[in-house]
Amino acid sequence: MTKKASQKKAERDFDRLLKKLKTKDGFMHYQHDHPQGTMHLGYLKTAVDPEKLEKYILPRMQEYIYNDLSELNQFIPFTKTELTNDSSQIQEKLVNGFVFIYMANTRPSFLLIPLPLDEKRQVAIPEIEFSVVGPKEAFVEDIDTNLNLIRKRLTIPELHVRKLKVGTITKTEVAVLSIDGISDEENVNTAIQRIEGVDIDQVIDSSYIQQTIADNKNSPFPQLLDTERPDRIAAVLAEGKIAIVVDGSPHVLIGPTTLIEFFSAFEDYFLNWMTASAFRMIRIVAVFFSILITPMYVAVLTHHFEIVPQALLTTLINSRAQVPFPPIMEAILLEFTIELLREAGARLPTKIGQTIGIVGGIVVGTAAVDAGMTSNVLLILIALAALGSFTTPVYKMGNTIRLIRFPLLLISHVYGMIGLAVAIAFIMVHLLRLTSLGRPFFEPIYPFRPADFKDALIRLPFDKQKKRPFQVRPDKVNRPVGKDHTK
Amino acid sequence: MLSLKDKVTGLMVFFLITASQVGVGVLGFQSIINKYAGNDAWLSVIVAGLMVNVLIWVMYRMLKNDETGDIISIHNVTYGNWLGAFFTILFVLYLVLLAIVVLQTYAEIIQVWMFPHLNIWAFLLLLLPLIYYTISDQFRIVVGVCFLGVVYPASLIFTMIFPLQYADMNHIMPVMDHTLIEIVQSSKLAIFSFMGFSTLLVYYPFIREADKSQKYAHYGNFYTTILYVLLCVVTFLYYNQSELTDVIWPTLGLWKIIELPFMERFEYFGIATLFFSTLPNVVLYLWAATRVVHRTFGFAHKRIALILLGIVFIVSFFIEGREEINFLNDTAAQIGFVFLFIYIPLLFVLNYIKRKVQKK
Repeated sequence: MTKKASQKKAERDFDRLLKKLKTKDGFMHYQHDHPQGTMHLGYLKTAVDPEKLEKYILPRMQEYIYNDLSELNQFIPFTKTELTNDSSQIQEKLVNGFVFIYMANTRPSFLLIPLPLDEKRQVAIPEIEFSVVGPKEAFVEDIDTNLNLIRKRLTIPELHVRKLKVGTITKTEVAVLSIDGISDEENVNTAIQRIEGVDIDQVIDSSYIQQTIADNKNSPFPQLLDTERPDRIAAVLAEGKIAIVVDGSPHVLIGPTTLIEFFSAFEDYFLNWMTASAFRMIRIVAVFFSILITPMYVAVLTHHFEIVPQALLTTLINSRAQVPFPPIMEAILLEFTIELLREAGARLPTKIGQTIGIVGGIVVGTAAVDAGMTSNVLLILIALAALGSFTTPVYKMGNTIRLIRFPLLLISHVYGMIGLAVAIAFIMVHLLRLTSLGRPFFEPIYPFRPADFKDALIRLPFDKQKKRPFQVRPDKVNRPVGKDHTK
Repeated sequence: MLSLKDKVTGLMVFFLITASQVGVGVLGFQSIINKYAGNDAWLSVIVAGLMVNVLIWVMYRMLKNDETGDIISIHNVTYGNWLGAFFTILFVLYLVLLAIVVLQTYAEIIQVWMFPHLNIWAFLLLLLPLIYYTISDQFRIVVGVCFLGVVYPASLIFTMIFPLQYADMNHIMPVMDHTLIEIVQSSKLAIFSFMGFSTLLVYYPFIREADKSQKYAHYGNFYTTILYVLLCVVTFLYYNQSELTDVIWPTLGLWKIIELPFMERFEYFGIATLFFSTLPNVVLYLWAATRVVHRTFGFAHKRIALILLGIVFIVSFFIEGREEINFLNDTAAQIGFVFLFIYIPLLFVLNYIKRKVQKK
């Protein structure tokens, strides 16, 4: 083939490509005359930052002197530009925010410049895990911003970021973070292996990953912790855990985790250790209360009212005298009402949601008691139980706690206290069987590791936390400790 | 073979031994063991505890010498494969019997105390899935249940303070007014409350550095002994001996004393809490039975568990009434006694001789 013929073919190819691109919505196309021949510039309007294009690319293209694209490329103030002859990738590149410049009769004939339009939310205050004291940054949807937020707090070369692509359609970027020399390679490998094995077409949020790589997918308990706080991620990375950042999600996953970690708010670390421990205990008591109180009410009033002392029995009977329903119906009615309120509040815009809360809480509650549908005592208990479940710092765990109440209610109705004991044993065995990234979930209670109790039910002062949690099997168990100033 | 991940630490032997011993027995053993020794029966508990300590020592000697370290391989070495399998099956039957006895006894208490119209088979339909859920997976789940089954019900020890306000020293004085023979006779009855630790013969290979775990086994037995002695003394201080003969479950009577501003009739709560102490018994027996069958015949662990649970269910279906449960209890006690005090020492001697012969 002669030179001329090959040029003709290239031009025909380009014309065909241009024709195809022009059918696309928002395709922009400029022509520019150059001594070497006509130049073409094309991009997708919605994908490209117009300001950068007009400020940096167009003037250089029109005014600078160059003979071919590689010379032009030297004037372009952007990295990651590409020079290529291959026109097959153009379409895909355009979608990703590239601008192409075509120059006939030269090789390479395409210059690709990345000018993606970055529509990012600003880093804002954490809303779900808000804390009065401590840092006020929360993750956003952009993975690079999120990684940057973490790197800012861990400026060490050992921070290891491994990137993967997940989702056959979305090709979402997923990053697995760990600190070399501290975290156990086995945990990292487990996480990577499982993420690579994820076989779904779209990963929209980190909860997709959370659910697909869970050790037991048929468990109501979340097996990876999610947080929106970069400071928390930095802290757990230093403990030897690993973090999983997913593009498009403001929540970062932590693993391996334990059941008790779900009840520790990160604010616990900003408060004095005694206050923090007390608050943590309150939360744990609240959880037990929340799970057990209504089933116990049903069990006792249905089967064993002998348990209730006489003085208390009078109160109970007075409050229940007008109620025509058995305790189980009464309880389910109220629980259902609370769930209804919660669901309505969650689906509605914030301001209307507040109104619903007031209407539901006060009007419906009082009216239900006045009408003799439910007893006062149960109303108090259920409201407290609902409050208790909302003290859980991790939203998903709070949902689980509310969910497991219902089977307990039913079994208490049938078998009373014994049924309740059996059901609790069921949950206990389930928790014993659960693992998080292959590490026991119920630790440090079982496997019994007294050393890990330093940051479980209570949080001891930092100078007492000289060892990293044993659960994650860190490579370096001891934390570097500074000098003791008291001596 | 077993990987390190399937194994549990030596400390867990403490909980395994204790959990396999303490169970529904704590509700009623006091009125059984005073048959011969009367108010001195608490001494019998100590004697029984010491005897069990010796047996644990014997078992450890056998297990340490064995390559695999469980009863199947000990049987095979001692008797050869066929006869060994026969004795192994007898051992499985013994374990299943113990599990049935525990389940029946607990169900009976619920029937008498809480739900007079309770169908035992319906209750089992609730319980057996739980047991299957526990034993069908790794051994560490069973150990976890044992661990929590010791730790959580241990809070019930504090309830022993309440009956002390009605304690009468005259009930227990004078100490040692029974002969040694009577005390030993009573201790024979007390042994039944210590049974279950023979599952050690099955789970021994699942312990990390098993040969160093012997002290924990002794501590576990020690804890059980102290617990029983404490309970026994409190019971004897509260009841007089003639009252005790009429009471089937003295511990429940002790709990009735407790009155809290929000709770009377503590025994309802006590029985429910005791479930966490009963469950490890059953789970451990049935896990051990499953494991032994699995080791002997090689069927899938889960399938054996299902079949054994089916057997438990069917047998329990046909047991009714106080007499039959009593008969079952007595039979299990007799078999257990023969097993522990005649068979185990015999096996130890035979095993020892066989090894000496083989070496030469």
